[in-house]
Amino acid sequence: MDKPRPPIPFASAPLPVRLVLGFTLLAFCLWLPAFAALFR
Amino acid sequence: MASPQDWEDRKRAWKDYKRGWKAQRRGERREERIERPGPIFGWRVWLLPLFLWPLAFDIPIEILRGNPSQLVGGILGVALAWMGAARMARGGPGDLRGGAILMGVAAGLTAGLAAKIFPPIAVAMGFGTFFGVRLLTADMAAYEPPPQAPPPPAPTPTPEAASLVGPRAQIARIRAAAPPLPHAPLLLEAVSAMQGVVDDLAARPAQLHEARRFLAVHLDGLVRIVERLEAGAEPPETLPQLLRDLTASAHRLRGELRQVESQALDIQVKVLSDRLRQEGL
Repeated sequence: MDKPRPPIPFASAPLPVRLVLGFTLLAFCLWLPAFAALFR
Repeated sequence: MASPQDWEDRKRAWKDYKRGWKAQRRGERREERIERPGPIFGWRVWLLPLFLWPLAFDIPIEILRGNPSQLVGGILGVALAWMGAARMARGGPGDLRGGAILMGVAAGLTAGLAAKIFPPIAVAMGFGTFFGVRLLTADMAAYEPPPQAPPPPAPTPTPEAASLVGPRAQIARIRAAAPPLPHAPLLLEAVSAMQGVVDDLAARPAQLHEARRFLAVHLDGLVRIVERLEAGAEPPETLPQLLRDLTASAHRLRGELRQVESQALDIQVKVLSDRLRQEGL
């Protein structure tokens, strides 16, 4: 039998926690490089 | 060496081909749009590429500055992030994950090419974006297409039509069994004549009661004869004559049925013309 895909870390955390974590990650990993590209 | 005329021809052929291909793609896309009703995940998905807004200013600046690698990084970042959002908005099974991967690749390329961040860190940022997008979107259930409306119920056959189901099955059975049997042409001729009667009755079910005896006796009898012949019975000498009689009787019955219709029409015409005459028209 195929093993199910491992769950995403924090996927079962409450919604506010997920929102804060997700937006923080995106701000750091997505927005920051784009911003750095603008000002380098 | 190809002549200029030759080049022109080739160019025209290539353009024609391209035009045809585009038209075909357009048709396919239109069908896809009809099949799949628009994006279902709205702002939660389309918010994500907006994190890349600085690139909208960065791309023109890089064009002016003439930095090709940073320009490519910026354009790829925006394009892939947009494609990822579009994919997530589609909401099919696996689309949320696929869209998140695209967003991660977009972030990695933005960091590595456009911002010239140390490559391993750029890759880590790609993974970070992937997890961030998954955290924000994974709880959106995979899109399930709306349940199809149940197919309209099959028209229930009227009692008259239903009573013709058995004879039709018998005719089909005889037709299938007849070819290898002795006197096959006569059998097929008889069954064709009977098929004509059944078709007439299907068109005029009101006369069904008049033909019930024919259907019960003649068709049943023919089925039994075919069964015996299939079992290997020797056909008696009178069988061809009997088959001819059956054919003739079927033709006669059709004629009678038609005559009844004609008489009914005669009566109708007479009644209507009498009425018109009475009313002084």
